[in-house]
Amino acid sequence: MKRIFLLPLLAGLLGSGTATAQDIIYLADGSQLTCNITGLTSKQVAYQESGTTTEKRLEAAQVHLIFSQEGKLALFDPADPRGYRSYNLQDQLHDRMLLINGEVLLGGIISEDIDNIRYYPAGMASASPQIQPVSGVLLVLYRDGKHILYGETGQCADYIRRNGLDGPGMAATPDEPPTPGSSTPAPAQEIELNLEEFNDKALDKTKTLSQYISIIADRGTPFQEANDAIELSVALFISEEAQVEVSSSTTPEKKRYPIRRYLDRLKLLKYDQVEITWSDITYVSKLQKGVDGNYYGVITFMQRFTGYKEGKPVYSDVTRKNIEVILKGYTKEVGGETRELWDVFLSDIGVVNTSRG
Amino acid sequence: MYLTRSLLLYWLIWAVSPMVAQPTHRQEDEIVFALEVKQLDEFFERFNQDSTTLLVRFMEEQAPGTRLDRPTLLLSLFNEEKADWNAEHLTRFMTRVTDSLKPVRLHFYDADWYARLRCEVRYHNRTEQVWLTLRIEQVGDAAKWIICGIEAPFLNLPPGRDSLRHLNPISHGTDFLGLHKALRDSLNLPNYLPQTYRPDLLAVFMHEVQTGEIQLVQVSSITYHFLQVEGWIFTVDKFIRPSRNAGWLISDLTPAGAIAKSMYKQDVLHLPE
Repeated sequence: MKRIFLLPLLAGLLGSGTATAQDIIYLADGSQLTCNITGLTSKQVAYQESGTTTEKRLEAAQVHLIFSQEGKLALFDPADPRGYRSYNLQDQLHDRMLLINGEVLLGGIISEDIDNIRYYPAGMASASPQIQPVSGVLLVLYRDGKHILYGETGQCADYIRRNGLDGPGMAATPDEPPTPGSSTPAPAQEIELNLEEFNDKALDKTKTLSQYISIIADRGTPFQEANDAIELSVALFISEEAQVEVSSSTTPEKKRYPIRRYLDRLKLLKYDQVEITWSDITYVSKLQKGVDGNYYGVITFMQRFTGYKEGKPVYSDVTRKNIEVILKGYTKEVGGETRELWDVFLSDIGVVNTSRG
Repeated sequence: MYLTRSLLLYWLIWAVSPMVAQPTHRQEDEIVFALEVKQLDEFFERFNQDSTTLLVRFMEEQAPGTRLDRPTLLLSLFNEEKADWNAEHLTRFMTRVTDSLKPVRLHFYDADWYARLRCEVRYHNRTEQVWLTLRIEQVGDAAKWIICGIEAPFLNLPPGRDSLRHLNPISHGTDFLGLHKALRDSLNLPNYLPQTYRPDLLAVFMHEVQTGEIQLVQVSSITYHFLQVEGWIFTVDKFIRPSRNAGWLISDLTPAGAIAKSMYKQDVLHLPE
């Protein structure tokens, strides 16, 4: 299996310095160009090679895949009215693996090695890390816009033309994601709110957080992997200023932690195994618009935490969690047209211990 | 009489009886979760008989055909462990709220409802209690909570100890040289202010917060005060307990006309006159 290009998510998160601010064009002859793309039409892509100002062009037939430094993926497709397809990878809720058998796996990728990819499947709060052999993978698309190619570029391009990226959270056109605290709030009355979609996204992010927490608190998790899970968790939040307040039905004392510190403390619990399950029943409040143009809601759900040592449950509690969820609107110019878009972030969390067993 | 403990108990049993004869722990947890008023928003929804609220949907799933009428939903919002409910008040309140021609509903943007927060603060290396009153302020089509009242006994000036200490009536003759002594007379400072003076404690509090003298430790408890129902004031507190009657529940109900409400705003909520 040829591993052409590797910019793993975690390398970026850990500041390893391997990321490059360059566009990449994968060519039909098997080579790749690192360049600055200056234009894309239905039939050609224009680019400047690094260090030059001369514009060159490639015909559609010469190109398999294009990845921009902003995290966008494009490929020529005569079936598309524009002559090409494009996707903003940073609009994904999860990392995404396109498999040779046509499936798409969604989740949070923890690590890759020469044989396997370890990941947490999306939307399964109590799941343990899964392993996907790289021999079955065509392409990995990280939610921060980076990618790993395992298959041949032509094979990948054919797959995408045939199936798309197949899944929620992907924009059909290049849309920039909001950056918490920095994007331009859209006039909220113009945001087209789909409450069902909001609820789904918000619940999905809270489940993903629970999943990471079960990894962090598990002694079997390698130290680096736990740190990676913390990074992935923090990325779900509007900012690191988000707080977790822990209270109990039996004591008036409340403890409050910034989210990263809260997660760091979980890492020290060191149970042999941690099981977090939550009820299917949840309450999602109505959304209220804040003066910053964002919408605010709170999700309440019930969660059971069980810590095991030597195969036996040594601690168990049931908690109510109230998670503030922020629907952040932003505007994006696409093809001369202003579009109103939104994404969901987690914020402050209230945890109430209701019983212990 | 609308509400008695036995009636509430009946309701709580009735509400879940169609579901399962002997629920497992997990099923019981889910029943308790569905019945608990988990957020104030849910309180509004149940009070208003919102057909989309979780409990209504839960009951429809668990016992198709079951219909939760408004009195039933309202009853579920009262703290059943309070022993001294006034039955006559409850009957009148329920009649008023469920009046078919002029039903009462609560809205987030209503003007006359407040949150009163009991807060623990650190002030000069001591732990003190502050009660803050907050309300929703609408800004265009958006909203925010604002602090509109405060009760902070430790910020009040104690009464002067010696009523004879004062700035004498001829102080102007010395270009108010006596003011130096007056402002050092820390035990009798109120003597140098108008008898009717009421300090703006909210401004004092905010100044102390701004200078770092006061730091919030925690919000210890919250009570919501609803004054928007004509003729009534009721409060809502959070009851955390392993019960099917838990969460944000009505803790007190008092008949109150316009004058009584005005006094309540000053005496209980400490809102500026």
